Amino acid sequence: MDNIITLTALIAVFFVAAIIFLLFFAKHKGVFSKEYDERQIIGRGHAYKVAFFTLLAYNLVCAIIDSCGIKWCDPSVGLLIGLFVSVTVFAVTAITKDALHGIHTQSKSVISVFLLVCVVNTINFVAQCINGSVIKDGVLSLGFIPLAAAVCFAVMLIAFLIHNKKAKLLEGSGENNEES
Amino acid sequence: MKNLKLKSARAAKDLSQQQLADIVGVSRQTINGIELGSYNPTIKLCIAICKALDVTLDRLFWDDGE
Repeated sequence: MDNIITLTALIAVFFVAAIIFLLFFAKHKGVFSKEYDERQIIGRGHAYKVAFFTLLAYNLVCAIIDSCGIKWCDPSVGLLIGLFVSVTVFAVTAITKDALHGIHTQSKSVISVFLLVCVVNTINFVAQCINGSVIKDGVLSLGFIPLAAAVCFAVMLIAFLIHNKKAKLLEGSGENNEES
Repeated sequence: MKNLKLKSARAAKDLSQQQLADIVGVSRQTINGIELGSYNPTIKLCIAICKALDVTLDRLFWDDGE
């Protein structure tokens, strides 16, 4: 048992180290440089602000519910749901301002990532349901998190697709001055 | 207020919004926003656009009350 825990910890450390190395490598190669233009940076700033106040409001609501003696989830689950909600609010706000992805990023790659995360988490949630680990002692446990993640990414995906469709319709009708 | 001067200067150079955006290093939506008047660019971007289109700042961005 101790060996398995040690092996798992080593693998986790290896993956974290690999991710950090890749991030440093990418930064060194200039992958992140000039990713967003000035309008997008302003849009993302606004989106961060909206997400921040959403998280504050969520924490306030959770505190009120908790003070009423209603226990509906594990503390860690409540924390993670709050993070998912605020990240989703950030992403949707950024999408409406054309500021979610950088100027060199393809829309298709964003859609692929959203779809992949959504599908993987949905499958994970089904597995959690089969194991019966979604609700423990009458409250939501960590098994609920994949569903929360899947719903958040589904919302982001839908918002992204609707925004892209609207932009294409505007281009088609010539409302955004793109005729030359 | 729409920036028709920018649109005409871009058309005179036979550039699309995307081509101009690539030259100055911004997204097409940013150029579109400037032309529609929904986004006020920084002076840095204004200068980059003027250099790309070979026109002066006055000609593109000075509101002479027309």
